[in-house]
Amino acid sequence: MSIKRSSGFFDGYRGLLGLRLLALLPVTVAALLNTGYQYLTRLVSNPDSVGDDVRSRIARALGAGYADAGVYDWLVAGLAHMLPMLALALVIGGLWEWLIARGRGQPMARGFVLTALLFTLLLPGAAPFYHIVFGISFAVLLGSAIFGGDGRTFLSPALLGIAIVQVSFPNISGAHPLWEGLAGYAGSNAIALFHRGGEAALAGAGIDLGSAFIGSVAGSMGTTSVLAVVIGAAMLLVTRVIAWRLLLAQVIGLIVVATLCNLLGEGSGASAMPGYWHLLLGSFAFGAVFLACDPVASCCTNPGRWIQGFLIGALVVLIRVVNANHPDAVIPAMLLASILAPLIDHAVIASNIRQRAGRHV
Amino acid sequence: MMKDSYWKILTRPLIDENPLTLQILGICSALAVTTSLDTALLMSLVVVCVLALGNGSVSLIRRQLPHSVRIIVQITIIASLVIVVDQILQAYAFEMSKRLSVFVGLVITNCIVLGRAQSYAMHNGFFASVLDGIGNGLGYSLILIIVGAIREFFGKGSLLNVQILVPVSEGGAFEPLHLMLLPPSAFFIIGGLIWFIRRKRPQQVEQPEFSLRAREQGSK
Repeated sequence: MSIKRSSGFFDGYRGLLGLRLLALLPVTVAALLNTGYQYLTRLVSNPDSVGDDVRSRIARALGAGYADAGVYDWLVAGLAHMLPMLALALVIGGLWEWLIARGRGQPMARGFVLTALLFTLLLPGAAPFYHIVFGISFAVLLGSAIFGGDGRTFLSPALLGIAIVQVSFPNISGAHPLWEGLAGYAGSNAIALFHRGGEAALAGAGIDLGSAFIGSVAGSMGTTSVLAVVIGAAMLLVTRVIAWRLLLAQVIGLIVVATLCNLLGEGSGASAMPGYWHLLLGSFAFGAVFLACDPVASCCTNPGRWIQGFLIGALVVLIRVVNANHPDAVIPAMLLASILAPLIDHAVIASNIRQRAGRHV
Repeated sequence: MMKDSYWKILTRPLIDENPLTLQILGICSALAVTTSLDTALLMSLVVVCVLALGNGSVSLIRRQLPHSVRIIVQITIIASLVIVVDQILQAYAFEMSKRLSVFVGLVITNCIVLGRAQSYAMHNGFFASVLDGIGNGLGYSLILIIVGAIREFFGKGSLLNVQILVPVSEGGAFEPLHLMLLPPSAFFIIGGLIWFIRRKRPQQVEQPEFSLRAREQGSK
C-alpha cells in the first residue's frame, strides 16, 4: 500500500487517520439524518410516549418538530441524539489516551478519535451512556494501548469495543418503548424480520431495496445507509487507504455463500435471503469498508486479502443463516477474520518462499 | 533460621512465585470454576488438600522411587488423592460437586500439582514438601478467590450467593455484566492481576523476546 507523500495532515499514519475520518463524513451525516428521522417518525405514530432520556429532551428543547418534519428537524434530532454519545466516547477515549501517554512519557496518540467515531456509529440510538463508557474504555485500553497504541494493534479497536458491549449487554434493558426495534446491539432487526417472514415481512415494515440502500431503515446509527458507505468507500479506494481486493473479496464471499444457501436451503426462512439483501441490510457494508479494511489489522499480502475477504463474507452469511440469535453477524465474523489475518499472511509468505526456493533446486 | 525458611517456603508462592500469575500454570481450572465465589473457594480447598498430601506422599517415597517411572508413580498418587477428595465431596457436598462437575477430576492434570511433586517434593523433606504444597495451593487459591469475587460481583451482583446489588430485572439499578460469566473475562482479570503484580514487583517482568528496531537515520 503506498500513499502519495505530501506534507501535513494527510501524511503518514496521521494521514491515514485524516483520510479515514474524512471518508466517515458522509456516513456520519447519513447517521444523523436517519437517527433523527427514525426518532421523529416514531413520535408521529406515538406522540404520547415521548422519550424522557437526556437526548430526547435535548431534541425537544432544540425545537425538532415532528408534525411535518423535514431535513432540518431530522438533523437537529439526530444531532441531539448522536452528539452527546460521540462527545462522551471522545472524552473517555481521550482521557485514557492522555493517561497512558503521561504514564509512558510519549506524545498522545490520536487514533482514539477514529475509534470513538466508529464506535459511536455502530451503536443503536438508545444505547445508555454507561455502555458507551464501558465499550470505549475496552476499545482504547485492550484494543489499542495494550499492544503499544496506534498502528500496533491487531484488531480494529472499535470492533473490539462494540463486540465487548454486545457480549456484555445482550439487551438494552430499560430502553424507552419508543426505541422498539432500534434498541438492540444485535445489529439488524430487518434481517430478523426477513428470517421470520421473508420479503413480505420486510415490505410490511416499509423496507424496500431503495430505502435499504439510502438507509432510512432502523438499525445501528451509522450502518444503515449503504449509499453513504459507498461514497466513503470510493474516497478510501481512490486514495488507496484500503485494499480493493479485500473489499471485493468480501462482497464475492457474501454473494457466493448466500447463493449456495439459497440453492441448498429449504427455500424459506434464513437460508432463503438473497445475496443483495445480505449486502443491503444490517451493518455488512459499513463493517466491510470501515472495520474489516482497517489498514493496520487486515492482511497485507494480496492472496491473503482475497482469502480473508472471502472468509468474512462467507462467515457473515453462515452465522446469519445458522444462528438466529445473531441476525447481523458482522461483528463476530470480522473479529474472527481479523484474528486470523496474521496467520493467513504467514501462510501466504511461507508458501511464496517455498515456491521460489523450489525454482532453484 | 529454620523457622524462617519454613515460613518462606509457605509464603513465597503467594505472590513472589505464584503458580498462576508467575508460572501461568493451572489457568484452565481458574477460568472454569471462578464464575462464583463459592465454587472458587471449594476448588481452592480441593487443590490445597491434594497439593499438600500429594507433595507429602511423593516426598516420603522419593528415595525408593526409580527415576525411570517417577512420573507414573506421581500421577498414580495424585489421581488416587483426587478420587478420594471427589468421593468425599459427592458424599458431603453433592450440589457443589455437581457445580464443579468435571473440574474436580481434572485436578489430576492440574500442572501445579504434578509440577510441585516433580520439582520440589522429589528433592526435599516431608515437612518442607507439605508446606510447599500448602503454600502453592494458597497462592492458587488467592488468585482464584480474587477472580471469583470480581466475576460474581459484577456478573450477578452477589457475593457467596448473597445478593448485594439489585439487578434491573428485579427493579434495581444494577445491570449484570454478562461478559463476566463467560470464560474470557477470567482471562482479562488474570491478565490485569499479572500486570498489577509485575508493576509492583518488576523483577518478575520477563525479557522481551524481540524488540522493535529503532528507525534508522534518514529513512521514513
